[in-house]
Amino acid sequence: MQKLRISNRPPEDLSGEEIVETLLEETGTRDRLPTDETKLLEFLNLKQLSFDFAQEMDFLQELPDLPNKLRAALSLNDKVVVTHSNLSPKRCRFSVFHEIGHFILPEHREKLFLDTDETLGWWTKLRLEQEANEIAADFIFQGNRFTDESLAFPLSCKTVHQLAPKYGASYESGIRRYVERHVLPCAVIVYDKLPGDPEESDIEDAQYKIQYTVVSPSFSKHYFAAVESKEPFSRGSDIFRVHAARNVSSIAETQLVVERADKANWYFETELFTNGYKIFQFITRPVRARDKQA
Amino acid sequence: MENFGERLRRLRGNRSQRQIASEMHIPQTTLSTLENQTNAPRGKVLERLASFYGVPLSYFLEAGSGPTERAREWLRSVRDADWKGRETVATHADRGLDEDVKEAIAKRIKQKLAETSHK
Repeated sequence: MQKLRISNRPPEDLSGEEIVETLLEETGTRDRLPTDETKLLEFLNLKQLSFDFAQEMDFLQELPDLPNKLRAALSLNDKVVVTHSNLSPKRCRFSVFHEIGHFILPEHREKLFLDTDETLGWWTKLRLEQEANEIAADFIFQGNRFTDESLAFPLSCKTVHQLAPKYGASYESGIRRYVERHVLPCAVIVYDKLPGDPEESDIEDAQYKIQYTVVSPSFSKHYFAAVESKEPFSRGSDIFRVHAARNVSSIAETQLVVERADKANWYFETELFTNGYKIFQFITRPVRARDKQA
Repeated sequence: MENFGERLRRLRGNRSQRQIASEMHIPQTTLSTLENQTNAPRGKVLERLASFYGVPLSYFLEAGSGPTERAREWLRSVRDADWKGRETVATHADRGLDEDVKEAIAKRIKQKLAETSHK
């Protein structure tokens, strides 16, 4: 039997999480994976349209790096979500959820459709976009469902490889969500390829840089929030053990040393894998918390 | 929704109660009792458990949001509302767009919708 509780808060105080949970419940999509975006659109009376932005909106060609950086748009007047037809199914789904986020979050309707560039600061715009991304992730991972389910499995990137496809999520978004919300200390360092000469795309010449680090709250409390390296990573580096791997399940176990401010080191056991584009290094607790340099 | 004891038990993984109790310097019976408790204990005990396992206190206290009548009313109101405002769009893009570009996109979308409905 469905159970609801009374709330007297004004809509502006509704949390995104609360709205997501309610919409999943209302549309019968809760616990049905992957989340069906068409059911959410249907419930909200939103149409979906997809076309090639480059072909159909020639005025975008005059702007640098557009139209391919424009993925989707929401029109409130016409109640329609439009997506660029060149998006992969996973990206398209994420964009639809992102636009639904703008549609259902109380503050977004006011700020994005009533305010203008003159009255809306860039910081607020950035925050609203981040909030819509969070809502999109909440729809994909069904709030805490992915996190709760993952806790029944070992603390390992293998858990993400097992669960992400079930949620229709990419491995990258899966490992991010896994780490961000995990109750135990864990982190992931993501390495992206440095742009090379397209004429000389020799696989052996590839170089990587750290793109970003994601840590769980308890990892951040005990160890660090991010790492950096002044040098790019070339052939010979440990991360190259998965560089040419053909699928995510080819995992290489390595050790990682992270230097602390007090010159002692942390030694971590890590798991490396690649999705074909980026390399991911999953980390848990250090093997030895402190090891003073000689 | 998992209760406190179930969430605590999950943190132990494959390790035995005896091993954890020994590391925490508490009797095994105490740990066993805690893992069978529905509600979270208060004060120092909870802090000690959170510290030992390296998890935030909120891990044990989170109740989850869940659906609410207020959110349901809100969703129905946005679904049924007939919005007539400026011709503009919210976008998902890797860069910000000027207002005049967004207005042009909104107009093109309207045209495309009209073309689609005529087909």
